[in-house]
Amino acid sequence: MAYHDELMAHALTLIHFSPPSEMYLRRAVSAAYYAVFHLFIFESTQHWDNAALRTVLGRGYDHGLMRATSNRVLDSREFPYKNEDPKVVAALKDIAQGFSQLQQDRHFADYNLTQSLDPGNALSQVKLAEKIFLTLPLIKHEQIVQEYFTLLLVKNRAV
Amino acid sequence: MSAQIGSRAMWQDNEQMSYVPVGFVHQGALDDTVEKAKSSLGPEVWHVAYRIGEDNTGTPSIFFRITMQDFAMTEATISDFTGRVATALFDQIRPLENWGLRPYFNFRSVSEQQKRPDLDWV
Repeated sequence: MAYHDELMAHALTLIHFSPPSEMYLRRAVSAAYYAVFHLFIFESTQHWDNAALRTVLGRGYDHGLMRATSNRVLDSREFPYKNEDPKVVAALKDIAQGFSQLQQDRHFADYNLTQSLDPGNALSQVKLAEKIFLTLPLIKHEQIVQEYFTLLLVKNRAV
Repeated sequence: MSAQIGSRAMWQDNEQMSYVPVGFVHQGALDDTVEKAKSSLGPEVWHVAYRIGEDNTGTPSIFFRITMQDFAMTEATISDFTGRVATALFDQIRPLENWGLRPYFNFRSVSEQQKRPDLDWV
């Protein structure tokens, strides 16, 4: 099982822990974010011919740039995606929004103890990550998705 | 190429210039827009609150806190319902394009709000 798949399974295990405790909820949200983070890196580096070096290439990915890119593709002024399949565009935007959302949620889960984390809120976040895992395989070969993956690594460039 | 920069994009010295951030949001106009968007949501939505602030990167953001009916927050239903609500609000409000705000959506159930009331969700 790939590392990202293990992390996603781990998040789902934690979120279903009974009785729920806030510590498990927070760890579940954190694991869900990292599952998606590593999924994106895994998929993005698959085109690197030298398979043995893909994990090294993966070290080049930066949380901040990945989030900035995810927000860029949500902005129709910058990425109008004209003449693209609207269903693919919608799915890509859901994934990009989901990544940005999960990164913010992870930050809350790991650091912000000023407010509690509800089981429902945590479940929605973990299920958002799971949805990304289910949706991405359906569109990952589309050119706009491959462009998105490329821009996760390349700062401030268009394709 | 499919994902080209639109006509509003600005480039200089090989770096992209960022859009001017929205320092002030016309609260009344935003309220109206959110109210209009809320009216299109289904009965699974009990309440929609929002706050303007910065996310953990310091970027101006809009944080939607959406209270859902309990039936929409089960393991089997939560993904579809929350996804639908987030998409509807995103598409109608266009937070990035019209308001210069990054959108975030968080959900809790009515029973959770009743059990542990939180003013941020009101």
